[in-house]
Amino acid sequence: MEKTVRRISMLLFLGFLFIMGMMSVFGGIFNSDDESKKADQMAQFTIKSYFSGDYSSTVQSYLCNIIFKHDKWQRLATDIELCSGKLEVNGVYITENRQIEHLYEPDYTLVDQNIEAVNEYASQISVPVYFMLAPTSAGIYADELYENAPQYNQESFIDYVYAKFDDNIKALDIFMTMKSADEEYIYYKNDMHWTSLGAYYAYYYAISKLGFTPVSFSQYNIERMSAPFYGSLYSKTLYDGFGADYVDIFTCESGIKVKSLSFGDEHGDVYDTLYFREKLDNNDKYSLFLGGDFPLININTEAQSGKSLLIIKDSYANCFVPFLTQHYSKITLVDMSCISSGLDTLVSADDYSQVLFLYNASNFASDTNLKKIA
Amino acid sequence: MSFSSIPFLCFFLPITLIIYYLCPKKRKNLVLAIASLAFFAFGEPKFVFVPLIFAAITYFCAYNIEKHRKTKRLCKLLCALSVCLNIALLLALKFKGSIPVDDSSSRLEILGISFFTLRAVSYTVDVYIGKIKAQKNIVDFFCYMIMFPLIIAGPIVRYEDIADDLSNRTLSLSKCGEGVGDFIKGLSKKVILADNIGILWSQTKLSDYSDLSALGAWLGIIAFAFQIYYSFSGYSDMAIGLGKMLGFTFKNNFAMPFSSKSISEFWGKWHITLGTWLKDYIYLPLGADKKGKIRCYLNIITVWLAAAIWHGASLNYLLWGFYFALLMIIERPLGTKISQKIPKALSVVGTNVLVLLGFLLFELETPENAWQYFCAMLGSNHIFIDNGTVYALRIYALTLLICFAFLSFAYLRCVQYVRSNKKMNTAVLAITPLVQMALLIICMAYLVNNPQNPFLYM
Repeated sequence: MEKTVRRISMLLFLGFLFIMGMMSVFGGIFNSDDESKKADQMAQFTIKSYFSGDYSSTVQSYLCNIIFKHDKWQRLATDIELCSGKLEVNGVYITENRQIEHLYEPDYTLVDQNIEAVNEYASQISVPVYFMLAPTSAGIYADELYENAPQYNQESFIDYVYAKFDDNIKALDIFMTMKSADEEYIYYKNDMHWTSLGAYYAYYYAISKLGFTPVSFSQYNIERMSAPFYGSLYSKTLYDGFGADYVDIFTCESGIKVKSLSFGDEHGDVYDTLYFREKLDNNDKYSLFLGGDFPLININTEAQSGKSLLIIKDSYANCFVPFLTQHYSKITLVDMSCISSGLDTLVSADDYSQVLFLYNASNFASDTNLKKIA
Repeated sequence: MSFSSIPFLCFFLPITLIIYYLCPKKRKNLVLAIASLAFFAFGEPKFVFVPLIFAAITYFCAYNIEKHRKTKRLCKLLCALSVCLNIALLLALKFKGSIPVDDSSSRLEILGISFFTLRAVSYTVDVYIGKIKAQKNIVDFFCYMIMFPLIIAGPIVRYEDIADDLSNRTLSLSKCGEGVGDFIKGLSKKVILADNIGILWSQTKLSDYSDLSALGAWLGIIAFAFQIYYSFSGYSDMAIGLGKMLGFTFKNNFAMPFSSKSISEFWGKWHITLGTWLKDYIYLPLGADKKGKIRCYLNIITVWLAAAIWHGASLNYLLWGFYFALLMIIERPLGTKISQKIPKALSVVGTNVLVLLGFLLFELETPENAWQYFCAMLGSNHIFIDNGTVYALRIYALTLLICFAFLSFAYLRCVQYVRSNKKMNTAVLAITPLVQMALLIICMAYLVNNPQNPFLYM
């Protein structure tokens, strides 16, 4: 009996591992439309890369990545973690209603550098500067966490940042606005971003501070994209217990139309829309808005206000900008994380009527590109 | 490449084993040597030649000692040469360890070199004193020196223990199956328990000790004890299991150390092969306790300082060594008298607390940190429990419980009961392969999700 059992153990063990290994290498042949992550190729062998250790570590991570049914294994790991009593998987909390990013205490030297850079930039230009530090779902839904879960307080972080700005920078503090709408679908359940509705609430608050009358909610047509969206938080945990998210497009039929959208390249393509529906075929459905993150985007509208706006932003601005096109004739967006040179090589703020900084709090706390603006 | 990694489990191991089983008996050592070389070349690309050169030196010296047995002085010289070169390599690495190499800040370390040196030294000395015959076949010798189950960590297998296996071993499917059991047990200890509970310790370790709650500090150091025990004993189990799959029998390295009633008992049950190595090659040659009390105490201190330097030439390890040397010296005369009077449970708890304090010295880089942490354990921060601790207890409750359960007397009783009861034994046997596969699948999931996992030893 004992011997038989041991023989079975051996055959199962060796058979399982061997088949796993073989399926990982050759499984792709039967199953060619398998995920995009297989794009990373096996490293080239050179004497130099071998002795530096690069070759062996690339091969090892390659072998980890090609493992057969990689996503099923990862999903299983999440389930095991949750069963064992963990409330957090790979830096993402899984609460009752959504996935929330774990916020760690920011590096305040970095934060202060960023604030200083913005202050200095504002002092150099003569147009009014606005700053919107958008809370993320981690800030708004902090009370959904287990009460002792370590989570950095985003609200006080936002207050800290606003308090350190010079007086000539006008803070657009939308925390309470977002908080009071927290029953609605203002953040994706499985992604870091806010939804179009969330962006609309932020717009409604901010636009009057920028000197315009907001377009009322009833004037918008909401079109829900049918492609299910599993965002960045999902990709860390592969937890799908909350179902898919959906992306909405807000259009104002009676409102002002977009004339052109271009990516700063004089000879590049010019589009007449802010929405790139072909992006819905990708994993990141959020890049529907403006096509994703680009160093420079110029938008011209039919608005007669003659006002122009320069936005220095992260991806939170992408679904926020469509609302602004109702008011500004010209909007330029600069993404500091996509440019290598200084801001002044691309645009001059004095050519615009206003400058708006739009960052989400979590990104601002760890951003290392803002210092390039001053 | 470590045993607990996807490349090893799904690629290296099955391919190696299949080739190994299929090749004729005569060639098995060659296959094993080549596979081990590949394992090593993959794990330590930068210094792949260093152990090979030192293995060659050891082979050459031992071979010539055997050949020129009559020429006593030459034998002595060769023995000294091999031992000194190997130890010099180890010391050079340990003392240079803190100096950054080239432009990277990585420490100069060679995979498994600490264990390699001990094998080389014991082999040379044993040949010199005539305990064993030098291996003439260089393939067989390389097999012993760089055999992949033994490269990374213990058990520190002596040549005499596997000499017969090297020249003639029997492979059977059922022995391999026994090895699978050991391997999966070790893998689960490492991946499911040690890596998980290790997160709790690494978070505690990085926190500010001046506002650490007393319970949090205790929880942290207990988590560290679990981490290092399950990580290291898991690794030993995996090595023993791999050995069985290849037809070898290695000695056990751990025997329920946390059930010890005294410090000396603890170290007799923890990393056993290192303990016996130090005893046989340092303590006994120095005269053990045969040359008077003072000499005996000095010998104990020497052994512990050697053990400390073997871990690394830094202050925390020296303090750790000195601490345990001192405890063993104090324990020696008291030993039997007191242990008879103290209830068993109390002496077990007392021993474990002293061991934990020793771990503190080992793990925290500076004495100030260790002292501050120690004070936090005593409640110097006037916080008994804080939110962080409550949260840690909430999410690690199950892991802690499992870690604790497998170390308890109750678990031992259960095992004994099952073994003595025939029906139960059969039932447990029948589900064993299923349990093993389930554990393997859980480990695989963890490893795919988090490919990086550290290895610890003490």
